[in-house]
Amino acid sequence: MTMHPTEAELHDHADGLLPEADAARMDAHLAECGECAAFVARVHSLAAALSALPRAGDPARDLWPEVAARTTDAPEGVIPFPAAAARARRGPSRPVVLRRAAAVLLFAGGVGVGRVTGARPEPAPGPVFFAERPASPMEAAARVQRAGTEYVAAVAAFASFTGSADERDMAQGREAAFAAMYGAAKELTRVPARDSSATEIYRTVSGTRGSLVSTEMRRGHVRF
Amino acid sequence: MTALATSPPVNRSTPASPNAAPGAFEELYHANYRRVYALTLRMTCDPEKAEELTQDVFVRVWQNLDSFRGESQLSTWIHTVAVRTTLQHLRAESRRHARILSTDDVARYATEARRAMPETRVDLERAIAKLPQGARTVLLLVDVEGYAYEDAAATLGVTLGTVKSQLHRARRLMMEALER
Repeated sequence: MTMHPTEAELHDHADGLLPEADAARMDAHLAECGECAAFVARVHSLAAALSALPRAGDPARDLWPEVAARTTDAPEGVIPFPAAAARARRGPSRPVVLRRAAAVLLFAGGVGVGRVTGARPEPAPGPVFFAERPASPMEAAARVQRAGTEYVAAVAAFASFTGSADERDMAQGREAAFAAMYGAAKELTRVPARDSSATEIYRTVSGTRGSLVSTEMRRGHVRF
Repeated sequence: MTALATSPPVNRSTPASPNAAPGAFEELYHANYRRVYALTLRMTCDPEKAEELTQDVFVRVWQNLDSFRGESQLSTWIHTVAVRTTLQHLRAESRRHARILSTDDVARYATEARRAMPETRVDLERAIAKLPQGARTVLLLVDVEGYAYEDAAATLGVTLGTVKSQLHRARRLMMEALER
């Protein structure tokens, strides 16, 4: 091999990927060419160092509790409990913003539909106060998240009765679901939108609430 | 516990199944989370994102245990889930904006790598963090994690030629960075 091999061929040789005949020619070249031999030696050295790097590491905190919360006892169809604590610490990423927007849209859509259907817009039982005030905003947020998951599970269970002959019960359940959404949305508006993500959510909600109601009307879900 | 990480065929009735005895999935997690964290940390160079992705990987493992066919070791399957979950994140992130690591990002990553893996070589970790995303991913899969070229190509959904060219580029950049 009189001409220098390509860089790709040198890598392939270092990785043992060249066919036997080509590898023999390459060895002959390397025996004569210090430049190429040095390059192959550097590749060997780098590859050996990289393969010796540790392939296990300890996170700075215990990640299991949140994994457990997201994988234990979650009813089928319920959105898993997100890693709220980690996300809240560093502020929302865009996907989180969109997920939150989707969640708020569900509430806002329900509020709009509830108004059109004539369902009582106020939460029937009035304000609910927990016996123990959460110790921190994070704990309070986590409590909201758990309650939201339970709410979705309850509505999913209720929705499984769709088509039931008990129309009166179904109407009452739907009204109760809307009332709960309205109550939550009303409380949520007490939380000032001080960051751009929240502003984005509210803008999204206000822009699409009408279309959600229209969709419900087209589906015949809205009664006059 | 170790058996869960290394034993071959596992099916729905194994202790790792969601229907199995309480605590089995936790054992599976503890046998594998350090490897998943190291992988996601190097692929993202973002400690907080790596923590989040590690959690996402195990939630996905939990949700998809039924689809594990026992054709490989369970730990290998979890590793594949980790690679794919992280790739999805990186691709979604790159669609929104090209993430370029700043000097501070690299320093933060190197600090976390040294804390999480005290026996690591920080000069190598810094050089890895400075690689372009595509080249870094291929280098990690082939030279660090030991994937065959063909397996890396299949995992990444690219041709063998792309894997080779990215790997060669990554190695060249690494050698340049280490010789400065």
